Amino acid sequence: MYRSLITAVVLWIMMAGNVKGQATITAQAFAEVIEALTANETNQLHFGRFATESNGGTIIISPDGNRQAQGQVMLVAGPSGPGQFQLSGFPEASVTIQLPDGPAVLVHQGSNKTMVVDNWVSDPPAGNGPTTLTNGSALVSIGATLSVGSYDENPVGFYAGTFQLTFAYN
Amino acid sequence: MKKLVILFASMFIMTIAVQNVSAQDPQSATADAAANIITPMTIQKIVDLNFGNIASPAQAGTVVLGTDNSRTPTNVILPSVAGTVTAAEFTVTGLSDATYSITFPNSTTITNAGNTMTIDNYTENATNILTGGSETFKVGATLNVNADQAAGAYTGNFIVTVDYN
Repeated sequence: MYRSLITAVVLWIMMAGNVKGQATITAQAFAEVIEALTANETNQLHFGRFATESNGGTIIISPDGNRQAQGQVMLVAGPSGPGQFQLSGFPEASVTIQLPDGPAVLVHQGSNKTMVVDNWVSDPPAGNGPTTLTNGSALVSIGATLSVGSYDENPVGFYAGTFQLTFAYN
Repeated sequence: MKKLVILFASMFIMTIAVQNVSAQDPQSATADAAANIITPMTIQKIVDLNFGNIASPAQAGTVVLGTDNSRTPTNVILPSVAGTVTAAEFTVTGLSDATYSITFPNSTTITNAGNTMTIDNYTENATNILTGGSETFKVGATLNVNADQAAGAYTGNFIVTVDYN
């Protein structure tokens, strides 16, 4: 009986040791959700004024604002320029620019006659990676080609339409 | 015959001892191991868990952080500026060559200005053997990001428990 009592005491001590065997620690967990990417149109894509003749032609505006006419289109002085978009977001993050999938249609106010804009180009170029939000911002310029029809197809007046660009972190 | 009696007697004592063990605590049934458990275990945090930078998703998504510091996003964009990305790291010490278990919370909430995200499915790369009396292991987990998760730095605490097997 005495022996079993000792055994019990010894076991109790060992059990105490067993309890101390467990160890816990608290660690911290972190994650940062970065600010959303935003884009503002600071300049509208504008092909400017021009005159058209019997066969029409094209007007190309490059992202740097250079305007060229091809075919039977005569450029007339006045405001014109590339579309410009100010991006803001997380500093030094890179951004993808996705140009419109297809052409944009410009509609004549009054007649519903149309012109088509396509061959979209951007600076920085579209695709993954090349655009960096230096200090959290970047300027993206968009150029394109306007196809102008004959005088009958495209009467004098103002034509307007919309196009969609997608900017995303990558 | 005399030897046989002695043998019976010693068995009798052992039986009493085992019964005592049962009466006190079922854990103490592993008497051989228990005798060695005098070296207490310790655990020390070396590195915190950090999922790095995440772009807020339009729909809910997850980021799985591996013990190798890799990040696997689902429905979440990981920006090119990754930020600090680290699997957590812990060092455990105790009795040399003892085996041990690791316990993590089921779920941990991290917060920023009243907004929350949860972390679950903790993983680790431990061998669960204290070779030479210690082991260092890394911990990954899954971050659950809500749709349109508000921007900000989220933090929280999680408890890791280790114990001898």
